[in-house]
Amino acid sequence: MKNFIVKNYKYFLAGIIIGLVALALTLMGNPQNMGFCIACFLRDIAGSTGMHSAAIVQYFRPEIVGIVLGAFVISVIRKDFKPTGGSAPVTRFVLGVAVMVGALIFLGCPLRMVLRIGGGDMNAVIGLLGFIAGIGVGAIFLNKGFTLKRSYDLPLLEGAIAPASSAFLFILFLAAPFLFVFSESGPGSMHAPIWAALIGGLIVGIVGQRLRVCFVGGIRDSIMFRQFQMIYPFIMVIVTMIIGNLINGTFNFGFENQPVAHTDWLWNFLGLFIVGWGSTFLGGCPFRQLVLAGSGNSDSTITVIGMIVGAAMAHNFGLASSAAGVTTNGMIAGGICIAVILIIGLLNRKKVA
Amino acid sequence: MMKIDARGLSCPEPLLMLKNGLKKNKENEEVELVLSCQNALENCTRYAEGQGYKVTLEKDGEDYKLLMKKD
Repeated sequence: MKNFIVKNYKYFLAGIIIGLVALALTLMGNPQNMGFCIACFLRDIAGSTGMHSAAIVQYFRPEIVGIVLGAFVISVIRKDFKPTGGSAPVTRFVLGVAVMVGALIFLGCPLRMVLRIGGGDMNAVIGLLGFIAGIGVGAIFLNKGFTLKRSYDLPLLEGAIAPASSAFLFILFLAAPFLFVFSESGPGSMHAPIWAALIGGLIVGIVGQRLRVCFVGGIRDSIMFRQFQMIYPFIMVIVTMIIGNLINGTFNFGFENQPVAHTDWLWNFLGLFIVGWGSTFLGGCPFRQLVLAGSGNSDSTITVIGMIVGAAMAHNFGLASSAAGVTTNGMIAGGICIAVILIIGLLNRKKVA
Repeated sequence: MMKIDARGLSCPEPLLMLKNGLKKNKENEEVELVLSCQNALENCTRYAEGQGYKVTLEKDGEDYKLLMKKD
């Protein structure tokens, strides 16, 4: 037991820190159960930069910049920063789009799923079942030889573009806010103070980079290799959120009247099924992709750009769900995403010797 | 000696290749795994040690070379 704690305390601590930062950001103004949500925040940024015009979800989220820059700074300090890429970038872009569409059908990335569960939102538990199922299907393909082929070392600049452009956009947001669009009502209008959001992102980016926190990897490695250490942050975020929400009086158990959520169980399941399957092919959840983008991985940068474009598409074409439920267009798009991921899975197998 | 080349591949592929390789290693040959991904390095070391191998790490230019041996 003692040995277990000594070996794994870091992973428990990571979950507690992420949970506490999420709680703090919610208390300071972020929407309920949305201290962090990579999908929602990339979507808000897409809106804020005019890529979609859904009036209630437009804000330049400094958390995203913080995560990328936190991962960048710590990876440079720890000599982990390594510009690599070239592993099927266009396929990764397409998977990024699909993952985002799935996340916006559910209303949250895997990180927000965990925060929602910790807030008592049982719709997210249905989502978790879909998420695990999606990772399970992805694991079957991996065992059958699925691969997006290897990446290569790239010039320094290639890896530096993601953190540099994040920093540039953030400075632009501070210096010339009139260039951006900001929601006046709805989730986009609810946000923590800029510096709190940036610092929160930096902390979570650093923790995520050092301990390689990934909400897909934990479940995947448990299924495929019986390696469980990445599950611990996952569990500890939920525990921290439950305790924090109980203290704060914001724990709301059940299916009905959950913040920024809908109760269509089938599409809560399928939305995160798409996210789980697509992210398994990508090698990490949306949060992990952001951290890797900050650490020099240009394949992950392309994936993040795919997710931003996917978010714009989801709102321009009416695919994203809302508290009112799933849209017909969203259901059709969900079906297309599953078909596209299946095709990518079938056409990227190497012979297992 | 069994050689596994997982250079440029990221999680979980190197570990998967190692797992499949070790499964076939009935004669307890020495196994050499070359990889570039640092995350996979930790996972693979842990996995091989869990399977009863002694693991030594060498730096091979930009890549890592893990030598795994069973007594």
